[in-house]
Parts: sequence; structure tokens; C-alpha cells
Amino acid sequence: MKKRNAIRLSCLATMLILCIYSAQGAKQSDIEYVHQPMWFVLSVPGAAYLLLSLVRSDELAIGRKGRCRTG
Amino acid sequence: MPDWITHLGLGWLILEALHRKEHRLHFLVGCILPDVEKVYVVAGFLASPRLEVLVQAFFEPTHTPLGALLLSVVSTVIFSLGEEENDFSRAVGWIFSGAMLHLALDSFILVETSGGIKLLWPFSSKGFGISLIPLGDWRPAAIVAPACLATALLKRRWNRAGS
Repeated sequence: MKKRNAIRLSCLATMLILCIYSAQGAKQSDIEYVHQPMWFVLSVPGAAYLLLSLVRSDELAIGRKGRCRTG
Repeated sequence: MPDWITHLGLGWLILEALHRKEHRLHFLVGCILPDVEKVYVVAGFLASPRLEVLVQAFFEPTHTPLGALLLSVVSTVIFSLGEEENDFSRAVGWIFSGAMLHLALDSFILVETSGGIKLLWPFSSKGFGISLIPLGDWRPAAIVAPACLATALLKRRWNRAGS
């Protein structure tokens, strides 16, 4: 197994243990956003568009670099 | 919690100010990464309020520095990294920086409603915050979105003038 995969797996395991530990203390007052999720939900498409356009521009840039390398 | 437009927009403005082109996707994904906990909103829509409380408590560590670090390492799996270990550590660093920016922005929410950021969790559950804006406030997005638009337009004009 690659070293980086081993690190990822151990971090995932630690995270899961912490999450279970946190869930054990669940109580009603923990609710933060449930009463007004609409603004959060509305912001998601805008954020998704920004990220996707960045991915696209990065892919274009990589494509341009690739063409330059191969000549 | 400020919305995702604020989180991503401010992250993008910081990258533009620093003239950083590399790893910007890592940084921007990091800017919204701690909000994976928001699956509890879906749980609230689809299932019982009891499950929603449980799901939220389960994902709560994502809004702590330790949880953000662990999540940054795990989330590198979605990026295609080169063979070099250097790529991996840099990607983790940039995602974690974005996640810390997220926590810094969340700390501006009134502590009475958010409970603050648990900086020392799991050793202490004490919440810390700057406590300036109400939860779900639209004004941060109303400031950041036009700033992003203006920056993008200026950048385009400069690029055209330069070429």
C-alpha cells in the first residue's frame, strides 16, 4: 500500500472515531441551521457554478500546457 | 454560518490578491469542506428531527481544527495527485488553509446562536468566536459577490489590455 493511502486510511479511521464520540453527546440544542436552511440551500448553485467554472478553466490551462510541452 | 458564496468568493479574492494560480482548487474546496456536515439539512428534510440531531452531532468535528486537518488529508483522494509525495503534502496544506479560512469566517457568527468554534476540541468543548453577524445573514454574500464580479471584470480588462 502506498504511504499516502495509509495516511488517508488512518485519518479516516480517526475521524470516524471522533465523529462517533461526538454523536454520543447529541442533544436537541445542537441544531444550528435547521430553522433557516433556505439561504444556505440557495447559495449552493452559485458556489457549484464558481467551482465548476474554475475546474473548466484549470483543465483548459492544463490542455494549453500539454500542447506547449508536446510542441 | 456564512453561505457558500461568501466562503468561496472570499477564498477566490484572497487567491487573486496573492496571485496564486497553483492549488487554487484545493484551497477553494477546503473553503467549503467543513460544511460536509450540512448533510443533516438533507436528513432533516427526508427523515425525523431526531435523526437530524444525531447526524449533526456526528459531523460536528468537521468544524474543529483537528477535524478539518483529518478531513483535508482524507479529501485529497478526490484530486489526481502526481507520484511525488510533495504534491500530497502541498495539497493537504492548501485544503487545510481553506478549511481554516472557513472556520475563521464562521467565527464571525454570533456566539449565542452558533456556539462558537471549538478550537480545542476534543480536549475542551468551549466555543470561541468574534461574534459580529447573525446566523444566516445575507449581507456578507451581498458584499463579497459584487467584489468578485468587479475583480473578474477588472482582471479581464487588464488581460485584454496586456495582450
